[in-house]
Amino acid sequence: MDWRKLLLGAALALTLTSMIIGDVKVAMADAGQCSQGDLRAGLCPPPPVSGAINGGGVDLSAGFDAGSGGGGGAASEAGGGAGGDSSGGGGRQGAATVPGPGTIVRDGFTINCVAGTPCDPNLVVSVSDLVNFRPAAPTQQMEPRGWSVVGLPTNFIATASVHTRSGVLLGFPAEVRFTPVGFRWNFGDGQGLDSAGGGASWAVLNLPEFSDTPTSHTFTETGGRSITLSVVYSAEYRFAGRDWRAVRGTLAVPTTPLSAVVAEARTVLVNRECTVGAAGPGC
Amino acid sequence: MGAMALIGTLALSGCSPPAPRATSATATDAPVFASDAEALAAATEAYTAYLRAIDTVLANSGKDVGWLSDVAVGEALRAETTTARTYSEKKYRSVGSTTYDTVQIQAISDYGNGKVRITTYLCSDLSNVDVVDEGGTSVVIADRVDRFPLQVDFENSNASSRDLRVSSSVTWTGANFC
Repeated sequence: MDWRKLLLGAALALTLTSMIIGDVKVAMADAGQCSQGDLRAGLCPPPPVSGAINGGGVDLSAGFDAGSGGGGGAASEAGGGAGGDSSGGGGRQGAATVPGPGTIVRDGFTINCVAGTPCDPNLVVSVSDLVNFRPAAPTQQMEPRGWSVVGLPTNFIATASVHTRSGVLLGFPAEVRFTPVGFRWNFGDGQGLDSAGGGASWAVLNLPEFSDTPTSHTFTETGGRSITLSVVYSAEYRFAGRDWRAVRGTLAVPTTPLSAVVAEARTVLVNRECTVGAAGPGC
Repeated sequence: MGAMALIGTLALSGCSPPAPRATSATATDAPVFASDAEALAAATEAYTAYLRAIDTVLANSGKDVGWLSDVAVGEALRAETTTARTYSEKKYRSVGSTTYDTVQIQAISDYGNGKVRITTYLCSDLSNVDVVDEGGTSVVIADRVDRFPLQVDFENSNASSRDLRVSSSVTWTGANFC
């Protein structure tokens, strides 16, 4: 009975606090808790509505470390339906001194865990398992836009950011977070560039036009070029209520190629200003 | 005869197995739930009881919050009690019942001392629920999403007990898969 009094006392204190603050919500959500009272009034934000995630081609699969005894894609619909269908496994504990398959002993306590489900610490997700998972497409730009001058630096800028996608991993809702860790340019002239950053415009860098930047390139021959960029992402995944865990490997995502004309620029003397007679010779 | 009886008593007590200890050890070592299906059934029963208790409390404008401690514990109990008291202050009333489906067990953590925590995903459905003020006007926000996933944790109230209570209820932060 004492503990109940304590809890009620604490709850009363919380209520008084929310009264003093002047709550907009029906009640303050307690560390992410969504009480039924808040949910019913529509005051606990549910996740964004995005349709059936299974239909969107974002299913994930996963493999295991060699020796963990599991097989990739093991059937693992744990539960499934309020009627209670048996998911198999469940790792009987206490019956044997040696943990059976699917029983994981860690930190002094035992988790009844079906191998390949979110609680399995041996679960390894590789980048190759993310084939159906679509990260946001990065974009690229160049300065000058669409053309370049032989012998002068052209500045390339890539845009990619950390973003999270939701999907289903082994039948469980999961999130995958992509972080850009590298940018690989192919300038179409046999040259390439690997950069840790995506670069920035001359204006942002506070540099004059045609300056060298960490992501600039100088073409040496005229002609049309197709410039391709791949952004290298590292990925992490997590199941609800669990920590982010690394996905093994990195993932290169190509952007739409840029087309550019590389031309020579010559200095010529003209007899009138080009701004006045734009069609004149040399303009 | 007295000496014989004494020896007999000593002999008996010497041979008697410490039955209570053996029973206790078995109870502590055995898993609380023998299978996921059992755990799922217990969690489903506990969640149904939890919703019915909240229906009762919130339909009565947040009075009789004592009901809540029978079905919720920890953070969940704190959040429900706080909200119920606010309903009481504002004279709000809940009409109808929350339903749920598609309960999935995410993890069963058996701490080996009879304490168990079951983490589940479920789809919560508010289609048949309204919250009204004293005059009967709905106070539900216009764009409330009626179906969405929750991650609900359950804990047993006593060591080795299968009697579960809701210990945490949070919305799933990913896409709405319900």
